[in-house]
Amino acid sequence: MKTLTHPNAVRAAALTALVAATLCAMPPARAEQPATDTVAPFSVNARLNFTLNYPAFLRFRVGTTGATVDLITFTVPAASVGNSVPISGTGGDAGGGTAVNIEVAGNNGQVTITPSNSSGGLGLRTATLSDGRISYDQIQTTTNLAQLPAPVLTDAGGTPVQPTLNTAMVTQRIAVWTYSYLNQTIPSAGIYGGTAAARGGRVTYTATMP
Amino acid sequence: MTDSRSRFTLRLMAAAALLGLTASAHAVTVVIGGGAAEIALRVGATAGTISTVTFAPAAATAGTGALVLGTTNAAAGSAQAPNFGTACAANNVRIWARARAPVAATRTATLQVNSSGNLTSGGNSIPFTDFGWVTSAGTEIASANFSGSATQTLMTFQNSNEVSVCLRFQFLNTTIYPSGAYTGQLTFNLAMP
Amino acid sequence: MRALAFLLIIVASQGALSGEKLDDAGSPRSRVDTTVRWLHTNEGLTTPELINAMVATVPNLEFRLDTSRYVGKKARIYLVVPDFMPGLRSPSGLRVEWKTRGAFLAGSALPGTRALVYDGTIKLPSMHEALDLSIYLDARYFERGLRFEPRFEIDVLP
Repeated sequence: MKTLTHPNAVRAAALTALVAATLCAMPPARAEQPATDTVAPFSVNARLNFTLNYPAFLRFRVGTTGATVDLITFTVPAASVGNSVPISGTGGDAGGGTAVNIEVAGNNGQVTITPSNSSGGLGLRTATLSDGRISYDQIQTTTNLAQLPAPVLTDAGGTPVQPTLNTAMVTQRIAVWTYSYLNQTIPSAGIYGGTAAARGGRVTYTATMP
Repeated sequence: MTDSRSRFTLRLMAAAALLGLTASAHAVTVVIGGGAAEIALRVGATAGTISTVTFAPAAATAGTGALVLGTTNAAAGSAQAPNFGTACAANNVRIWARARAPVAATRTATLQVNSSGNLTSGGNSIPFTDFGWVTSAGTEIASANFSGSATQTLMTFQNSNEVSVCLRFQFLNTTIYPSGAYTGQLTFNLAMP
Repeated sequence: MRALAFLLIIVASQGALSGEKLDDAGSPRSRVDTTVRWLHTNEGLTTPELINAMVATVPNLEFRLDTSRYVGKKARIYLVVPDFMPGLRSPSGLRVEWKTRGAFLAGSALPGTRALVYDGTIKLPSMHEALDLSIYLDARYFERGLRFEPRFEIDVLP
């Protein structure tokens, strides 16, 4: 505030001071006082439960899926009968017809695949009993996956195999089994086996699991 | 000279007196404090109930990659009346989140989920990465699968805001597991600095 | 001459509101602290107004108004809400509602407005009134520590 030196200025100065004092008292210019502040990192949790009921199951596929039963046909030319040169089959759903797709999946322990056939342990025959039999020893099966071996077929049925487990309880294997006729014998001419189960040509693979 | 000075002085004093009257040295003042920020989160049913989503793979398609949709009850997708539109579609889980604060505290809220764990049945386990979801309502969370991260971010938003989505969870079913009743729990976290 | 000019400016601004201010210096409490809370807690706050709504309450806020100059006169007394106040970023972010425990009228007012609380003959040199205040706030415009100073003013009727 400027200091006035005029004699009359004494009173004026006092009034100015009064005004100034009053001015300072209104409105109060106190610094803002914060209320209690409880700021912390904000964090809220919520939970959700999941329940999954996993069934025990076994799935097994030989050849075409569904109810279709594939028919593997070996045709031996007359000039080749008995020359021990294997003949490839036709009619499968893999390998251009020479083979079938195999899938096995299960989750309750070791799977066993057991072959059996409709020949009563005697082998393939024609409609004429006197034609004789072709033994299942002449049907060779090979696999393309060591972990899913192909059972060896015999007249009695064959040797069970056990696909290698993927984990302690789970099997999940896909392979292709290829069939060939070994052609090591000279049977009578005729159509052996076929769709008529009585002629012994129906092979059944049965997969089981604990 | 004297008179004019007196009048001058008088006017000055009157004005000062008036000023003193209007000075609010003793006015009643209400000071409003508080107003802390607030966040809220709900996954599934309200009132702290933990909802359950159930999956039932079929034997014929177990492990084939055929999606298995989860099922849950209506409470998990409920809408709190009266302001909230409609409930989620059947078998959906509602995720609802809110973050608000006074203007000086604008921040971003983040919703994360810990999907690093498993469902278990005895000694067998199915990781949460075998699961995902499809968003049926809301835009803030996109359809996706669980990543297996302990801090998988689902969405972020700035306060003050409220978001709500409906999710249908699904089992990806690409792996064969031993049979059993598997159970597990996911923890969702909404956080704001 | 400089001092006089300064005074005139101040007086002019005080005269911007109509009505004479009633002295409330005799009121029991000069400062009241309260806290704000979120008004709506349910889900579905789908508009910014709903989600940001807050309220602070002050029950039984007593005023003693010096009406000694107006005894015997017909007058109207108003509660005035200031235009601006520290901590309020916009006048649209606040609304005051009050109920009374005496002769004054209940009502509500926005910043920069006044509401009639008494209409009649002034009978006493000092009028006592207690208000239950509800101060509605919008979080988008609220800063912690907001200072609200209600005032009363009087229009003397001819």
